[in-house]
Amino acid sequence: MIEVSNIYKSFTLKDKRTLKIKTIAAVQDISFSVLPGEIYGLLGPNGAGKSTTLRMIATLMSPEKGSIKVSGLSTTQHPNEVRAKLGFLATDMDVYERFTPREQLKIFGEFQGMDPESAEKRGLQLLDNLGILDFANVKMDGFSSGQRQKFNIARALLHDPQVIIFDEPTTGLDVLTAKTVLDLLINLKTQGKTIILSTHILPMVEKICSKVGIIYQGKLQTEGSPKQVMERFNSNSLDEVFFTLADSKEPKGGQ
Amino acid sequence: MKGAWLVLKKEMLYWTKDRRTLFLTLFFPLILYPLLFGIMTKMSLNDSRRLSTSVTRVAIDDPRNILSSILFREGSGFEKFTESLENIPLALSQEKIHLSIKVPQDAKDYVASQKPIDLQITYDPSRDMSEKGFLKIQKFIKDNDAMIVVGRLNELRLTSDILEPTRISIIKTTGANEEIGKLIGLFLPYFLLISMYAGAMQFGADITAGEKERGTLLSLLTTRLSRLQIMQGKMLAIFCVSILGIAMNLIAIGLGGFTAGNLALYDRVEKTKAMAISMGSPTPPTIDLQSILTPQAILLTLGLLIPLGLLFSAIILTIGAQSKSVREANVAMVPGIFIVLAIGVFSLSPGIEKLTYLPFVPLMNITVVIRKLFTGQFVAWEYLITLLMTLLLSWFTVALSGRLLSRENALFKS
Repeated sequence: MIEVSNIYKSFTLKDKRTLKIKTIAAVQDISFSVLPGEIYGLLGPNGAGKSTTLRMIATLMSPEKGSIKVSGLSTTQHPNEVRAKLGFLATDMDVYERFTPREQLKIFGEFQGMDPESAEKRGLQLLDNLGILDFANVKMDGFSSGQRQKFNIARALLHDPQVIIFDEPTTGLDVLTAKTVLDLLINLKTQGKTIILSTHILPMVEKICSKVGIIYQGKLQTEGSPKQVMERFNSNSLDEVFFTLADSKEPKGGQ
Repeated sequence: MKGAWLVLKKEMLYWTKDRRTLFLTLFFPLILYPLLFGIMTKMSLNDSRRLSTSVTRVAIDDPRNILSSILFREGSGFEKFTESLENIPLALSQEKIHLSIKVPQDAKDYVASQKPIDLQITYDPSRDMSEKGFLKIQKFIKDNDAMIVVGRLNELRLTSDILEPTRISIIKTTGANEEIGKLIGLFLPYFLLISMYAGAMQFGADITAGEKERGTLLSLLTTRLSRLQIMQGKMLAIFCVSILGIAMNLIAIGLGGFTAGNLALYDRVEKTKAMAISMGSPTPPTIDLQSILTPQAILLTLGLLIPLGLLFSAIILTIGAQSKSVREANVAMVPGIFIVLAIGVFSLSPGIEKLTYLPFVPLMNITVVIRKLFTGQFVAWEYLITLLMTLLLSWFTVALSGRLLSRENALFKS
């Protein structure tokens, strides 16, 4: 289970011309929870604060205010234990190009406390599920972006984590591969995993997410099941909800 | 600590996968140095052979044939330039001639009246052949003068002892081994310092800023390993690569020196031997490298290099992890090379080892202590203070880097 309570995070930016330092609130007072067997869709435009929120859950950053608990463990007090339970995938992650997937999975298995043999066995199983087993012994410098993304998914799921955080997992994937990832997520959901998914593909969210939360300008604007959210905004799709929200929040006139 | 070892294992394994870097770090020096020394030796030998066998072309103005009659005898190594010359400096720069000599018209009268002849010699010191010719003519005239003087003394029924009221007999308390030890002690610390920092720099930038740039650091940070373990592992990897690099460079230089046989060390050996023979020493000195490079000296040097390596690794790790890209890391690390270079150059200053406060000056103390290790001037308390100072400094730098690296902005691009 993931419990996010009133978290706040800001960044400082320096204006190169005036040399003034500005503080930008990236995430403001966001709260939500995700139960085992649920996929929570965290939506929002670029720069809304989704990735910062996900990074705080993954202990890569600390919230300045509020708290986050993963499987009952505080992310700030027990970051190593939290990461042991967590599988994380982000868009700006890449692979070690000089290793083969097999070598890399063994190494990451050891990092996650697994013995190399069982890490290799499970890793190869995951590569098979994702359709890249034939490339298990090929150096990764020649891999396409889709193959790299598939490998990263396998790496994130290697230690069979209870909690899964996928930030835009279908980026760079063709329709067929995206479908494979979608099926994998549904499968993980049925296994009782706690999943947070951030994506721009809203029909996918409507299809697989139990709950969605839409972040805009660092704040959680609305939350509920996809159906509830659409009803709340009198819309037929999440796309429409998205546009309505963006319209109501944009500064009016002159821009 | 297991996590740090796992990261170290991964870094070293990944490093060995990069054949180009592996070749450049480990095998390239083994080819480069012997080849370089070989070429240099060959060129130097060729040049000295050319200079020793070549004939010096002399334009001479000697109307009464005083000097010419003895200078241009067969086998003297001098050749008369017979063409007329308008511009002597131009002829020297074009190497038409190597020397120009002007003998006064009344030189014969000077010889008869036992007065010195004023010879005017023009040469171009920037030309090897001209410089060499000048030295040759100086020696020729000196030898000729000595013969004239002996003749004059004989006429006066005197021996040449009259010209030598004092004779010096030299007894050296240190031998050729100490001379060589001094040479090793002078250059070894300088070389170790520079190659240790420079060798680890590129690798350090790659496994810190490079990983950040490529997006692989993020995947490491999401494992159950702590940030401290990741950074400790990376620091150990930088340390291992720098020590390995130094070891290979030293082996390569040694190999280059032995194969080429013209390293400064051996050149010095030959010169020392030659000097001893020329001074009438009954037995020329023998050089025993094993007595200079003793296991104790090597072990004590390594004892200093370990904390020094950790210090450099911590500095490189901190700079690399604070940088957003390899380029930015390299730019930030380059001033370090200049600092190390400056320390290295300063350590070459004569008499520096006499400064009493030096054991307390970081880095500088290492260069001086290593020098003393190889010159038989080892002082235990200086070594211990140097070791302690370096350990303290490396501990402080490691702690500081740990603190800096725990900051979020050190690990993310923005």
